[in-house]
Amino acid sequence: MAEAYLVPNPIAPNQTVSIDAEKCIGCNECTRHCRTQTIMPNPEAGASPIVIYPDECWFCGCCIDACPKGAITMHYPINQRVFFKRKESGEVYRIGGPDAPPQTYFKPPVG
Amino acid sequence: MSDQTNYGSAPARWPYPVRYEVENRVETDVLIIGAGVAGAMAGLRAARRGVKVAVVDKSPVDISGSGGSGLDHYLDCFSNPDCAITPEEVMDLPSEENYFLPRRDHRSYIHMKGSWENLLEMEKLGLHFRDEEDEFAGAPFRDEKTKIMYAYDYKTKSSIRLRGGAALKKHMRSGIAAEPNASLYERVMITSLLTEDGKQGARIVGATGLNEETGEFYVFHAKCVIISTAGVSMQGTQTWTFNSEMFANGYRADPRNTGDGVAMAWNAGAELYSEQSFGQTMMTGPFGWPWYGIGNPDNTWHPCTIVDNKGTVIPWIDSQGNPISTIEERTLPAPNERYMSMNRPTPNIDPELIRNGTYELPLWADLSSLPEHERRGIWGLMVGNEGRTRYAIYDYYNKAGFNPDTDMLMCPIMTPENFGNRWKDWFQGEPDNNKFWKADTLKGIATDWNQMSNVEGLFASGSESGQGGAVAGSSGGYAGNRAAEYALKTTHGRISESQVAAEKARVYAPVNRAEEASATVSWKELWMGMNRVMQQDCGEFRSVALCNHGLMWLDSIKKHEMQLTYARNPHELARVLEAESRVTVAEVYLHLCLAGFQTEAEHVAADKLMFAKLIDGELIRTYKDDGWWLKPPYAPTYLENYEKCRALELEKEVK
Ligand SMILES: Cc1cc2nc3c(=O)[nH]c(=O)nc-3n(C[C@H](O)[C@H](O)[C@H](O)COP(=O)(O)OP(=O)(O)OC[C@H]3O[C@@H](n4cnc5c(N)ncnc54)[C@H](O)[C@@H]3O)c2cc1C
Ligand code: SF4
Ligand code: SF4
Repeated sequence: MAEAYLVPNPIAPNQTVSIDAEKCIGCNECTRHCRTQTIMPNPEAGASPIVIYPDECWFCGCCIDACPKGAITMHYPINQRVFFKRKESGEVYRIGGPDAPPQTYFKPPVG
Repeated sequence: MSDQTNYGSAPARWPYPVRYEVENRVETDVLIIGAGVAGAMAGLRAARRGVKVAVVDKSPVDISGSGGSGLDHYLDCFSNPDCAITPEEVMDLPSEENYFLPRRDHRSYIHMKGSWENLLEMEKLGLHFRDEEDEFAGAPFRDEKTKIMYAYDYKTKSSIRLRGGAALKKHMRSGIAAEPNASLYERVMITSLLTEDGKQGARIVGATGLNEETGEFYVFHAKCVIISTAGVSMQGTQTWTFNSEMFANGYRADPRNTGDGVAMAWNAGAELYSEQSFGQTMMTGPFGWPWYGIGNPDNTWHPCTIVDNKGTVIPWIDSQGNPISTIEERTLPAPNERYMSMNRPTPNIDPELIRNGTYELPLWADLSSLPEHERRGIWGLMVGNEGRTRYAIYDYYNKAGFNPDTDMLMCPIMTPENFGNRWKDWFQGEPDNNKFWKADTLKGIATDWNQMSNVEGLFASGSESGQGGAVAGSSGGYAGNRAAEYALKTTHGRISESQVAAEKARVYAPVNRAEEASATVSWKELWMGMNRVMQQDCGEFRSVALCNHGLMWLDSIKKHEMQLTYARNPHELARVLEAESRVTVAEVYLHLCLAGFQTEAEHVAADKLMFAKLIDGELIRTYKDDGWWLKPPYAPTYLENYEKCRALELEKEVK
């Protein structure tokens, strides 16, 4: 906590996708499928890729689609996280909000 | 920020070998520049005609382009045998009744006419768009015999839902990879066209490129090229603005569609279409929402029920404005219509009822009140296969607890008037429709019945020639065939080495000067600088003086700040070059505006179409009669011209 650094300002959105280093096998399939080079291979062979240009991310999800290990999570920016309302109870939640209900819909997309 | 290991820490080494000094020479017959849905099909079709094809894209072709992460509907498929109206009939409709294609010419006909054949080709490549699993058996949008699922207007059947559309580009890439005559060059950005003797307007002899991983240079020597780079940023979402706040907003085309094709064609002396209407668009802008990720009753979400914040259900009207009561009627033309006219059926929102509190905002899209086939048709079939929805919306919202069976999704908040006017940014959340940042896309490179431009050997297809959408491969395939036929009867032109050397100097300048103290202009700042010029000089009010002022301002930036850009790796280099393309595109807009003013001043007849090009600094306008594509030397009907152009191709197929 006590440390402070002179670093460049953060860019926004700051974290568009993140990689779980525990699951990642460093195969770079994600970096090969990123049109904007937002994710780049780690120069250290076998290590997790680096999310270097999040300010260029298109939120296309092609990296997630390409990952054989399900290691990538998307973080949709705050300005996209809308509300939804449970019709019966009238309860209102926000996508990614603090009180979001547990997942109850598990059908895969069609095709 | 543990996952951003490079952030603020010591710079990491570039992960690829850097070889700026390497130059690759590639000889091919046909060069495809940009392999999105149009270019990929162009490459495939050209290769099948027995010519050598180089397919080049800045991005990996299995995900590249605006359709690279999916497409959910296939519009304009009037050549589908079950469609209630034929392409020829659509072309003959009076403009005011033409909901499908308000602007029509030979290009729109080519686009529609080949659409069904193109879809069948994509099916052969692996796109199983039909409901073969019978998941939607009995749904009113499904044809029980063909298992095709239609969208929006279930009677006309011109729009087809693309089951599996999320993987379309994967299938297309595999198709190209299987063609022995085609070679793929991915992560190679084409930077310029090469012309005979390096002259503007002379025949095309090839193009130059840059590898954005290794920084290597490419010289493609080709008999002809097809530009299918999709113009600049569909729907203006980022034309004159640059702000990462909006990067998840709107429909936003592939961020790699930076107008390079427009810039290189203009620099080579190609004519561009100029329309008086250009400059503004009513479509979603950078501060709107993506249609598919927000509650709404249209597009991907058609025909979803909309309720107000108190739960009052908003009534719908049909395409002619008459009240309707059933969900089924939302998907049908009005009783006396063969097809839906100008409007799709919509919820009828009287702005006054919002003002006086009868309807309380926000509105909500209630999927749960729809029958299961419509609900699943939207949440699963459409949202799930549409671009940028499978992970960012479908997966993300489901994981966040959203359940379409029980929940309603918030609609964007807009002015009451906007809710009442579907020709504004309807349900997209941007309150006004006349902002400078909403400059429309250019109308593209002007092409003839062979999709060739005024520059010999320069073809265009897809959105680059006004033939966008999921069906863009229809024009791509057509152009691929015409280019192959051209290549079969042509020899290679000679490359001008001085033109190559000049381009190489331009391309690598930001790398070569990166160490200099004066090199302080990043690609972002160059882009921002250009935006300012356009926001000031090409906004809602435009004049000859302002256009000239804008050109002077851009010229000053080009001579000064554009000579101070830096690139510390191939990624930044590609971005600087893209920003330079954007500057050229801005100049093109200003030149076309000027050409428009000159046309007005000269009282040119209103039914003339204007084309403009720049040769050696001189703006040259050409006029053609409206409907020139059906006048001599062309045949008088669309079908005759189409069949004549395809004669060789069809003959070959019969053999
Ligand atoms: C999110 C989203 C969803 C959409 N959904 C639908 C839909 O459901 N139905 C529909 O009809 N339309 C839809 N569209 C529109 C449709 O995707 C486009 O109209 C279509 O992709 C246009 O095809 P194209 O081949 O002309 O361009 P693109 O598919 O965008 O391809 C252009 C290609 O050119 C490449 N390129 C650009 N510059 C260069 C260069 N200098 N060198 C090399 N390569 C270059 C790019 O990398 C890209 O691959 C959607 C668009 C978006 C953004
Ligand atoms: S979502 Fe798309 S643009 Fe963003 S990191 Fe993944 S592949 Fe790249
Ligand atoms: S694709 Fe997945 S496993 Fe492979 S490097 Fe990327 S995150 Fe790691």
